[in-house]
Amino acid sequence: MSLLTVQNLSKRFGGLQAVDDVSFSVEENQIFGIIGPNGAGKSTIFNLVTANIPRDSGTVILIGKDVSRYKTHQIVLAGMGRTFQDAKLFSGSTVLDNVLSAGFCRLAGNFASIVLKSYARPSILSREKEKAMELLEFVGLKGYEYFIAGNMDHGHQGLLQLGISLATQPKVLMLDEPLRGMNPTEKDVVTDLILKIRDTGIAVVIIEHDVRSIMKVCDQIAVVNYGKKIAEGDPRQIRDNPEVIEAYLGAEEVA
Amino acid sequence: MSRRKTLYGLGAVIVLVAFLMVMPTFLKNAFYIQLFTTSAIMAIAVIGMDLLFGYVGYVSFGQAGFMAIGAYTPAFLVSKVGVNFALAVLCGILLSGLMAYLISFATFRLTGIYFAIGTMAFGQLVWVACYNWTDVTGGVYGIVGLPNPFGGLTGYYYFAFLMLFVMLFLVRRLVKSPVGEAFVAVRGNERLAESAGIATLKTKRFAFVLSAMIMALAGAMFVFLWTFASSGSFTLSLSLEVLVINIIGGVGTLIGPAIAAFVLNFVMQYLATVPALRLIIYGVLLMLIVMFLPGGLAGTYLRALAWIKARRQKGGQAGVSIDSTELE
Repeated sequence: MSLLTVQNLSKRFGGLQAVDDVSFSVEENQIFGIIGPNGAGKSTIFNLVTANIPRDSGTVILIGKDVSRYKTHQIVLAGMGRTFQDAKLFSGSTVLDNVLSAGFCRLAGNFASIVLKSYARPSILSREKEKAMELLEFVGLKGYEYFIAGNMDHGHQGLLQLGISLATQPKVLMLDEPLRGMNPTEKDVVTDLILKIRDTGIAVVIIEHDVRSIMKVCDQIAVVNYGKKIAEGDPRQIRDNPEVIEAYLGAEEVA
Repeated sequence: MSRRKTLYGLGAVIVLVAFLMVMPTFLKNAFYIQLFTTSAIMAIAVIGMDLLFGYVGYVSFGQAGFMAIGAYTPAFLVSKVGVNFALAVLCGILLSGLMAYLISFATFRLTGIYFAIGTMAFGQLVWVACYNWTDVTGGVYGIVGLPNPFGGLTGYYYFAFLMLFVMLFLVRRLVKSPVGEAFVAVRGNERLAESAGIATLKTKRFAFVLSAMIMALAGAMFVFLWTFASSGSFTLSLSLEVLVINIIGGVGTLIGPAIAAFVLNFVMQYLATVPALRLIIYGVLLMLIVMFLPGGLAGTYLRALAWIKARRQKGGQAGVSIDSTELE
């Protein structure tokens, strides 16, 4: 059974059809890549799936449950974590607090439990703290717990983003250009981490336009151009697909 | 280590409470007792502000409106209907909370300065209502002759400090809870908070309603101290004063703003001896604090602590970071 199924997703911004009838599905233990040139609509697809912007049409089925009408935070609770392209962190807080805040949703999902938990004993946080410490060790930020998030370098901020999204305990993790602006060493670290996340049983969806690094990690790749899905397959199929080469390099190159 | 810190903290609180308890017996001067009482009530109001502004990151200019609702409701109920004091105050608090809940649907469509302006409009509306709704609020004349529910000023003094400590305790407990983490997450980055599974709108609304209820309590305590409710008491400038005290005390620290309420109230009283220069000195003081003591009183205190610690460690870390949990 597929963990995440997206059907007929569409979005129009004024005169621009940003996403046009895109469907894909992600299986368990799969790293699914979405690639495409700049402005192809990759991030918009993410934002539509996670309900950060309203959909024109399309259904999203997450672990057998139709979450099309859910709000963003409800989708997160249903098991979908995500990161943003432009390193979004709680930049004024410590690394530890970043992860703790993200863990909050599992602690108090709905409003009633917010009210109930508001006078929970502070010890509840010390338990959460242990979990957060483990998570930070997992993503490779051990020793950085009390650094102010905004003061760290780009690579570590990227790791922290992953940590934040993992703290929501997702089944499906959506990563929006996790390798953006990183040097080769940092890329290797993050790539390894993504593989490690996959091995814990989380399905990962990655947007990336650095095709070379994505080819190495993805099990399945969808190619998007002008808001349409033009191809899908394993990395080898994608590499040899003439339409994909055209989208990336232009038609003349093929001929 | 942290246990010793807790003991120190506990000791300090006990000393402070004992001092406040015995003070009225030695200090016969009613002026000072009144001043302390007013400051304590102001401190409650500032705590209400800090909950919203300091932790959730939304500035409200309509806080005086909630204070007015919390003040006029019990004033009306006590003087015209004859409800008992505690019940009347509770009604005011609930009404204020309900009002906050209702207007939150409109105001939380706004963020930042627009939210501030939206709430300011609410504050002004309440003020206009108080001024014109003569049947209930007494209009320009207000509601006068409210009974002091504690017989005398000293009783009221104890009541004010009791309430202050209760509010401090409750709000502190709240912001140290997981919900406090959610508040800070909303302040830090609302979009990320939403994507981290936090129901941001509900979280904000929760804080807004609580803040309004605390403001209402403060408003009620003011009018029963003064024994009259007047529309002139709950104007925009009161909202601003609360905001200024909050900033000077240190946003998001609770204790800092509470202390600042006392300090500024006393400063204002002493400046009253030079009426012509009063506002000028006050203004210059505010400017200096904002310019040279970022983070307010509490922030400066924490920075000083961090600086001493760093010096003791002799060139450990170069950067001095302020840990918000230091003030426990």
